[in-house]
Amino acid sequence: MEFTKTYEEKLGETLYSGKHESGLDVFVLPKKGFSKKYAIYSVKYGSIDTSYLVNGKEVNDPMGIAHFLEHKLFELPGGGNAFDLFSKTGGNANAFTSHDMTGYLFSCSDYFNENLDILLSYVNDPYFTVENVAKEQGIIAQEIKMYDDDPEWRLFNNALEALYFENPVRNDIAGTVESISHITKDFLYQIYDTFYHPENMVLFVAGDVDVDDVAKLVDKNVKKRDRSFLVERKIYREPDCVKQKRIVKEMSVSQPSFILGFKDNHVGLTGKELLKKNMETALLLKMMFSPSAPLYNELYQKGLINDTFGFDCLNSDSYFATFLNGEAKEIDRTVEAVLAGIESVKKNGFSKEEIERCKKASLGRQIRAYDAIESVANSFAANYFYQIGAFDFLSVYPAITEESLMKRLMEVFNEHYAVSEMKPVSKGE
Amino acid sequence: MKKISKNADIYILPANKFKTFSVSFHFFTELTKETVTKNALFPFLLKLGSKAYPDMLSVNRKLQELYGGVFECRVAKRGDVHALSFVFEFLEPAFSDGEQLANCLTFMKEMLTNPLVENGGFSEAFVEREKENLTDYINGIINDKREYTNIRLTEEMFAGDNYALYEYGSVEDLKQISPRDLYESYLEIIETAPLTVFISGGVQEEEFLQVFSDLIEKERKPFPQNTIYQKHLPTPHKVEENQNLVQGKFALGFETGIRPDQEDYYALNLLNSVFGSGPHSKLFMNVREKMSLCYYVYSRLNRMKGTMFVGIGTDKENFQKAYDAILEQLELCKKGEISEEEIEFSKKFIIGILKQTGDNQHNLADFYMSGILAGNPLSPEEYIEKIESLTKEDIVRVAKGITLQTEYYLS
Repeated sequence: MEFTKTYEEKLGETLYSGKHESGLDVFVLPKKGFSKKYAIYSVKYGSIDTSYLVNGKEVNDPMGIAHFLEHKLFELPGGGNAFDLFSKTGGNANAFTSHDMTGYLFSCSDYFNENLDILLSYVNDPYFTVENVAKEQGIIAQEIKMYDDDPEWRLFNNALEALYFENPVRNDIAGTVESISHITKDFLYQIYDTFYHPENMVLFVAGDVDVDDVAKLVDKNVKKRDRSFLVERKIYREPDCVKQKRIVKEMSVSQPSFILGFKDNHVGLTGKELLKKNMETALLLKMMFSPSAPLYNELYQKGLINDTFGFDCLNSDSYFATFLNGEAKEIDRTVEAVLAGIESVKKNGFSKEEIERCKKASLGRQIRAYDAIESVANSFAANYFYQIGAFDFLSVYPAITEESLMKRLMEVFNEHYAVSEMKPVSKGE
Repeated sequence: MKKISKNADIYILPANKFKTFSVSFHFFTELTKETVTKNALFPFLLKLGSKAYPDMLSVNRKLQELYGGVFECRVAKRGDVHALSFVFEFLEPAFSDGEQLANCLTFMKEMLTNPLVENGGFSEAFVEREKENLTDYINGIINDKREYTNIRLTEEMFAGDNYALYEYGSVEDLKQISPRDLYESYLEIIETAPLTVFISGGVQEEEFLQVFSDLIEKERKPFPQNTIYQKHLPTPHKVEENQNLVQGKFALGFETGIRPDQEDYYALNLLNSVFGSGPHSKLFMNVREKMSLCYYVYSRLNRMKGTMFVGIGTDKENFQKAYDAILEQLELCKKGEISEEEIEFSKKFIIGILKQTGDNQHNLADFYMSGILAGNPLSPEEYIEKIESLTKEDIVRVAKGITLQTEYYLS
């Protein structure tokens, strides 16, 4: 396997990239002087991938199956699990499932090659049995219940449920206790064969490692398949409105909190177009809703928001949602003030000085992010599936202008919004 | 690591691989009922403004101009010590400009030593706003059920001791505090509390010492005293609370009898990993993997207090089963039913984390700070040697001294 070396002077970072004969893309970010080595092996398969076409045949899977599969892949043929192997080599292993991907990862200081060998081997060698599936139903049921008691998570999922009609992003990543009860070992094998295809996966390694060793271990563990990756993912056409304007839930919390979510239907972007959209949205959010923004300061001084106030974006090529969230004594008043603030920004725009200052700060933060091996690797692994390269952000900054930001502002903060509310349990009766 | 002792201790951490330079100031004071709330509140006022940057907007715009710098305040309880930390992070001059270092040093000094004062106190508007914020924060403890369980267990287990105080103080005390009280607390801490500074990255020593000469040359009080948990309850104190949760949670508090500066602390650290820290641990392998009772179960040490907490989330009807399983695993440790493999995995687990400590500026500073407060500061390498030299007998010896003291159940 041949690697191409790219040096990025502005970051002082080098990236090796190569394509394995199996179709797997492999990247190595050398980090001299760091003890920590990190690898993430990801598949573009997440909780939203429950309906799709294989060979023209439509398949519909139970909610939560991607996450279930993630848990189960740790199981080794002949009993035991991958954690046991990592324990021997001092690897700290983990995995996660998001809406659009699943990642298997480890970090270690020593025995990097041995740890990478374990990672590549267990992900490429599924072993599901009736017994181990049943056991996992118990563990995951506890995980689902843990999230049921998490007010932030409930608030967030309710916001997605309110915004989307059909897109499975509205479903809980782990599914429900009921939906996972339908999962069988045969289901898991089918899914595995369908999605865990080298062409639908990526390996990203960061740390002071030898690239040739990485290549050898990929050769050893990743086999070329006899067919190419052939899944047609279902495309959801979401109406230009939200499903529900408001969802209210009560839990035992200290005070009301909310998410004001905006649904942006300009989806289908990939590559630098999607990256630019992501970066513009992030800049807008900072220019409006961070402590360096006049609007934030106004809301803060009036006591309409507190330190918990924040924002978030959930974006891919099939959904794009933007969230403002926080605690508020009177949610209606706060939401009204936030919406009015957005309107006034739309009318008045931003000064050139403000935009430049914000760009400078964001770029500085992005450069500093390279100090944290894990988060660089994870964000790269997530971007990769949308054809976004590790260093692409550097060339996008100059393309962000006052005009492009104003255009994005209108797109992101549109009239398709919903409010998810969490209220303290009413007392009395 | 290099240490410079003035009246404050300044540690220069090796850090030429980073794109960040980070400076953190840590003040240590006694954790007491009278001072805890004031000391938890004033650090956040410093973030809101100074004489040169008189409001949150100008402070944060300045941070943006410094290439997205960060200024954070942290308030923590380290045994009987209340640690008030001011943490700054900036982009290295090599990636920014020639003025960056000087500009950042000036900014740090301004924020720490030149607060906005009116009528002998902090700005009244700031104080009112931050009181509300802190009230919301304290009341919000209940929102994170997992953390809430730990906080409640601490309160119950340490009832009557200062350590039972919440590090952010209490809502009742907040009401009584005036802008003048807070300014007095600020002066008291900045002028007299023991101070430790960690510098990591491209900050030149001489420049730092010059800019901060006032602060680091002031005479300061000695470190506050700390004592470990020593109640030796014959039967555990049991507390139950109902919040109609979907999943129950409980936490168990154990006494270990081991002081933070004792050699046996390292053995305790290893025992903790064998018992309940990491996916190789007895708790994970048995209570989760074999018995399928939970998604999370762990044990965690409090070095300063010599205690160990176990936390688990499981269905209420399984409480007894999980409780029995947890105590059974601890009993196995006491009986020496620990395999060579378990010891090896646990050592690798701890050593792996120690080796990576130097890859994160905060973790490294935090690591040294824990050692300093414990009265036994070691480098990660020295710590690794301690762990490597431990045997099964060491683990069993410390396990035998562990007794259950308090149980807290939430459902």
